[in-house]
Amino acid sequence: MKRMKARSARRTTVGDVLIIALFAALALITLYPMWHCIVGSLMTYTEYMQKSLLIWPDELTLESYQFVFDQGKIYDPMKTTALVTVIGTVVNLAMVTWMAYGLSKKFPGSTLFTYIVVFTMFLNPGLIANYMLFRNLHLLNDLKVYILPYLINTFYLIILRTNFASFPTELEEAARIDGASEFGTFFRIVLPLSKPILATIALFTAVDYWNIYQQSVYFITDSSKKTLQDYLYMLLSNNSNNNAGVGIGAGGVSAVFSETIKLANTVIAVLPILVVYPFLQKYFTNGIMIGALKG
Amino acid sequence: MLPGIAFYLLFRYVPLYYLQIAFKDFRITRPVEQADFAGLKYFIEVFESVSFREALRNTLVINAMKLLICFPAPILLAVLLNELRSQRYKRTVQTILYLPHFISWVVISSILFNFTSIYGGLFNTIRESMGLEPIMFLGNKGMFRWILVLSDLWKESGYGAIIYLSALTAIDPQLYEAAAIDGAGRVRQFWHISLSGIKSTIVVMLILRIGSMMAGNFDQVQSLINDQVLSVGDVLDTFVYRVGVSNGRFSFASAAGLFNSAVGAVLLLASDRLAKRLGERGLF
Amino acid sequence: MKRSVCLLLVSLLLLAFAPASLAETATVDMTDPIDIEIMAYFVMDVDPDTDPIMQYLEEKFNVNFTVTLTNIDNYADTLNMRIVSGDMPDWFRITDQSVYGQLQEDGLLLNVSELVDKYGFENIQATFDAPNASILATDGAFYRVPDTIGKLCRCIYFRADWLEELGIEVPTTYDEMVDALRLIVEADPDGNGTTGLTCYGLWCLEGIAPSWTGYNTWGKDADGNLVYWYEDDNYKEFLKWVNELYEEKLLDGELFVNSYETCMEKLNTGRAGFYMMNLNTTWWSNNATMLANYDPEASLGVTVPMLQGPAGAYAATDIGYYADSAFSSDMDEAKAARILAVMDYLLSEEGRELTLYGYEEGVYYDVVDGKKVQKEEVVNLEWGQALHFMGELADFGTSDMLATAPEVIAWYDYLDDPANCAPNLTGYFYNEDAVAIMAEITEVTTRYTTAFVTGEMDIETQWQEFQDAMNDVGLQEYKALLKEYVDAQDIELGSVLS
Repeated sequence: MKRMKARSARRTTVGDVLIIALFAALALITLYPMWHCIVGSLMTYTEYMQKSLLIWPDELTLESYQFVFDQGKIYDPMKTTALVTVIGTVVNLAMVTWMAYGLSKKFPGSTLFTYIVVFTMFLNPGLIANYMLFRNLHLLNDLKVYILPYLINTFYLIILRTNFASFPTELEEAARIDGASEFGTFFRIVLPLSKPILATIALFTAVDYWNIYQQSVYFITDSSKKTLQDYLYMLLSNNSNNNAGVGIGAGGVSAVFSETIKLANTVIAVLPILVVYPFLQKYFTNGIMIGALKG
Repeated sequence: MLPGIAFYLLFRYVPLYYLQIAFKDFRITRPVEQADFAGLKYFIEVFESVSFREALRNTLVINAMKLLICFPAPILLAVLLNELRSQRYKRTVQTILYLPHFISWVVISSILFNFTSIYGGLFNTIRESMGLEPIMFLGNKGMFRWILVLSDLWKESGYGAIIYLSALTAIDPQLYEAAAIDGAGRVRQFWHISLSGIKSTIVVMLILRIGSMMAGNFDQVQSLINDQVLSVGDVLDTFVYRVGVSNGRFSFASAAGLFNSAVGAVLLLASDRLAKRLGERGLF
Repeated sequence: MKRSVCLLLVSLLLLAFAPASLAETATVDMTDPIDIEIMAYFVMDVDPDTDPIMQYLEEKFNVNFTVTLTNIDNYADTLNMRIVSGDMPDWFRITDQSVYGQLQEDGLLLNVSELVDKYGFENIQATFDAPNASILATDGAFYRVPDTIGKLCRCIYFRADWLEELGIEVPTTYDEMVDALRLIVEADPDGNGTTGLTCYGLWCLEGIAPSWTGYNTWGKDADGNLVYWYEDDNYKEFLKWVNELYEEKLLDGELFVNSYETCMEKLNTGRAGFYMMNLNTTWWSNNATMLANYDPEASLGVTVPMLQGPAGAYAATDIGYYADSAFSSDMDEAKAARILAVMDYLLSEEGRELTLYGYEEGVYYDVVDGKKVQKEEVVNLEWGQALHFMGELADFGTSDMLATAPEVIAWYDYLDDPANCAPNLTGYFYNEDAVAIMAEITEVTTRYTTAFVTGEMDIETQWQEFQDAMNDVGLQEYKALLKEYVDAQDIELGSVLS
């Protein structure tokens, strides 16, 4: 298969210019929240309090980051989260694609299976139910609790299945004629052609794992096994939704910093994703050849 | 396929055993088997709650607004992005566009609060410079739903576009060339090739979206809701949280959750049927 | 003969009047090491293996602690799950009355009174004997150890330097405060655009409502019937007053959207003159520090004594307790006694000192002018706050001992006099049906009071509608249930003014 250029050369039109301008404007608007977080996290709290629109700190300071890292305890959660993200994404991806491929074929009972699968998206038995299940399975306080119960994300499953189903059947017939087995077709033809969607799902899955928070709060007790988001949240000692405003536990240094620390937390949590994304991006933006059909 | 099904059965269907909480007088101190059967008592409690009707109405209205506005946006974005010719520009813009997704609603709400403040917030400064009175956006019943919708648009469009972008790359570029040769303008190419190419993806996403009409973006609403706008902004999830969960009323919360799921499932089936009628493959 | 009779009489007399302490109290046997699991919420992680205070306690009592912590938002859910799964921690805090009610009814909580009597734990007994503590007991026995919130209560902070600059006297009545607000808003001393009084919701302002009604939330009328202040015309006057402030823009228009952080920001960056929020030594220093960072010349004041309203001057104290410690009933007496021994120690003078200053000079504290002063950075970084985890577990009020600012000390003294306080003693009422009704009542009161404050609904013409709405969702049934509780616990409610 040869790669061909996505579009033959064309002159720049008015439409092109408009689109470029549009995106410039959109980019500016959507960039602001992140900019706000980055700049805010580098400001002193006093300055942050006084300003509405943040452009650049008058006084650059790392005090918020210092607070987060000073405890020295951030490294364990970071490691845990990184580990879970990598393993989780790989495993999840494997399971989802495998099952999606299966579901995309028409066979007796496929509709039933699809119903079974889709309805789980609606049924949420609640925290207690999950807790009891995990307890009975001895998953509590074990890293596996981050991965096993979330092995397959139904939403991504559906997307992948739709994607696989949209492949023309001639493709598989062609492969079958060439003597490939079920697995062979899967690995050598369907998968490579689905790179963009796979990369997308991989990215989304990785992000989901990276942001795991609830499971860490309720199902894990060892602080070394907690996730990054959980740890960062705990640092903000003033998160009382308690309307009585008793403010129990608030005090000291952190009470004064909490806003900028929140921002620093956001930046820390997002940075790794920003680093990884460019590597995956090429899968979304290059054209893919389906010329295998021809000839 | 089998391990997948096993997974589902184990982790998704087994816990449903606890759905019976909705039908029983559940106490956390006793196992659920011992709880007294209460029939539909808690469902009735939910429906008769003073704020239920409003919450239901708000959920449906807000989700409908989001469907009309926030659903097409990522599609448009993806298609337009695809039109960009400079790869580098495209990639940079794309990266920037999805950034807000990673920022939690809590942080975004404080940014919004900043901007909408009547004491020198950006939006009101602009209003004043245009000769208008400053208004309290977050406390204003007329504006609150729009804030929910527009902030969701701002936050999620870029990220949502990624799916459509990758679907777009699956379209055979030769189709574009053929169309160009046939004399089709940009717009027609867009309509007939780009959109129809990702049609199946769009339909699936739409069906799923309709199925989640009863869900309410708890995080978003909870971060932004305040007492002044309860009548327009309170959604089912925040209602259940405030009236049920915060008061330790498990059966109530469970009943409400079951109700939501049931309606969502019905909507899903209905939209799937509709899609099939219109000739699409649909979900099942 | 006479002599021996006298001796007999004397010895009988002595026996008759023998002090109770001569009765045998058991001592706690410390020989066997015991594992104790504590479950609570805290601002940061506490590791019993490395934390010196925990180590000190472990050694002293021959125990081995395991600590399970969450943040405050998720604590209730996490505890519930432990309970549902039958896996109760040995020692945990209870934040939710309904959980306490269910646990106690089903016999899952340790009867603390029994052991306190048997082993003579004086410090714990002292908490039982505190003025309002009896409402925490069930049928005369305590199944939890009260944890006080100390002198934490709503008060009004203000920019003292602004009042001075504008030549305004510190207000003593609410009318005077309104005048001060007018002058401040007009003058805008810092030039940042200022509002008069800021707060984060009606709850804050209700801290001064007792100065209109004469009681806090629930009162008793002349016939002994319960009155909810939302039914009271005096409260209506209070709401009218608030509405007037709102309309005149002397009250922060964003009060329903504010969080306590945004309010602190406003007060301490010259964008508000007065701020109504909780006051104790921690909050005072938070605000003072913030303000000093913004402008070293600025100064803070607080309204002590509380300002005079139509019904007097009151501080609306809350129940005074929060997140008491409870213990699983599923353990043998030796273990229970050991745990209570630890608790008793923490509540003693020495124990409190330990949780504030540690046990070694120079580590967590320095001696300045003969008084112990905490090393703030060390304490905050290591402990997360000024009071060690075990201290908060035992009695949050211990942190009040750190007060140094004269304003705070004056506030504490003011609160010591019960005549100045209007407590709401119904905060520990639990009844399953009542909870459901109150949830509905709260929905109604939130909507109506918010609308009355903003003027969206007219308080005069729609007050009756409000009353009807509350009755429709079961206010009278709720009052009946509450009355039972109030009578059973012998609670003294404030009187409704006629």
